[in-house]
Amino acid sequence: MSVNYKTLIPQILLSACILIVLVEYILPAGPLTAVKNELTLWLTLIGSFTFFIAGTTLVLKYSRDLIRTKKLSSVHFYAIEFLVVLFTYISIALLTGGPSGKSYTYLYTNLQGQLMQAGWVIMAFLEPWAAYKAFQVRSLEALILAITGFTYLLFNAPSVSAAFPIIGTFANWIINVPSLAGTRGATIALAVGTILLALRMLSGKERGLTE
Amino acid sequence: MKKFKYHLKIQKLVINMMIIRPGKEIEIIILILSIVFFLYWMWRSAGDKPIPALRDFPAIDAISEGVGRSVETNKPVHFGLGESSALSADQAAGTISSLNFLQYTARECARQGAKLIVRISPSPHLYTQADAIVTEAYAGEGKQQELDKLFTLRYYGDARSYMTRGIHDMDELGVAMNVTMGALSVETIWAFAVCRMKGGIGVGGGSRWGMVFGLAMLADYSLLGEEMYGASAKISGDRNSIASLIGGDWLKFVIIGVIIVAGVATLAGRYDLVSWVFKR
Repeated sequence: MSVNYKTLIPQILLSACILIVLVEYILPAGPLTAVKNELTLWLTLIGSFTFFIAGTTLVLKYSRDLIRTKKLSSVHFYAIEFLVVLFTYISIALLTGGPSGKSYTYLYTNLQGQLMQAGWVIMAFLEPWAAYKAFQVRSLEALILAITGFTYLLFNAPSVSAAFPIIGTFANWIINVPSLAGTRGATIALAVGTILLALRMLSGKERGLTE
Repeated sequence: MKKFKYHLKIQKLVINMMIIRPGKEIEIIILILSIVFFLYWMWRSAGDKPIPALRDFPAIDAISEGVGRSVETNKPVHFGLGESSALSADQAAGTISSLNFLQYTARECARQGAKLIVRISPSPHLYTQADAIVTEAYAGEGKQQELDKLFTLRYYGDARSYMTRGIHDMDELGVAMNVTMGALSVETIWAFAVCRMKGGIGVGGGSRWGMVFGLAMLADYSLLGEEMYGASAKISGDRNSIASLIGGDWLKFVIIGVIIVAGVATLAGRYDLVSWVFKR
């Protein structure tokens, strides 16, 4: 067969959906708005279903890891941890009133929440070190960052900004002019990149998503 | 004043004729222009017409060097797909670029015989993508037997585990090079910080503005913002990606032109024009 339906059909569906959303965006609210809203609902459903597929893939991966690794190692620990946590959360959600139920919320807040906090605490040790590294100027970008960062540090020290008010003017200028312009420039560049990605998907030129 | 009213009337007439959603005229003009530029450059790409070459990116050469260093030192190359990467919303463009870099790095590792560790983002959808890309890269070099998926593909779970286990792996196994691309968050700090501590080369790229500072501070070679898309198109060697990127540059010239016109209009006191463009 000369046509690869496995990629052609998803591509046609994808292109049709993007086209409907684009045309609906341009036209005033009308019949296409209802179609777009319906498509958005389907997208949510399909998106949720892909989590089921992704979850199944991970269960298979960790089960394989468990079976294939003969010698006891951290692989076993990670695989068992994943499987236990996954099935515990699923069971509790199914048996005790879903993710908003008391048991699920208790487990999430007291187990997951605490572990998350512990994880972020590690960052507290790395951030000062990273800040120290930032002042080891090794490139033009690092030099600019060091000057602006050091100025802002001085501005945040009340005694320094009181003694030298010009530092406050300079720090505010950094925030309101180059930093704001950079943020807007980056936002525009990101938006252009996203539009181009959508157009590549619409025309079937983005190979990564359908192959 | 008369001229101004006349201008407004024409503007309304044009909007009514075009049946455009009111209040979105400038956005729609930019969208249509982007489609026109995209089609033009796709047409050039499809017709084998010349396309401007993208400039060289030192970060691309650094990846090959880092893989070579990995072979010499017998320490692995760590590749992070980005802890916020996902194939949806505004992260998608950065994530696809990251996957392109993964393919390039995996191919280099397979070719030179270096050990590779892939930190897969918390988004579980990326596990299958990473698996397929790494397998294809090793198969492409005829070294599928050398790929130990258990060692190479590491899915750590949520962002907390991604960080703690990522740091653990780097500390335990050593780092010849850390490549982190995609939609980055605090990974920009910890991955490159630990990489430097362990004496590795740091190569990074991110599309999220908020994390650019981390790349500038800590990465040895960085691809800031849209540079990552450019470098990604270059390593993919895909003419369509390069062509669409050039279409995007044309669009940026138009946007710069609009900003300049709006600036001049502000200086000239034509706030009606500025408010029409920027909805203010």
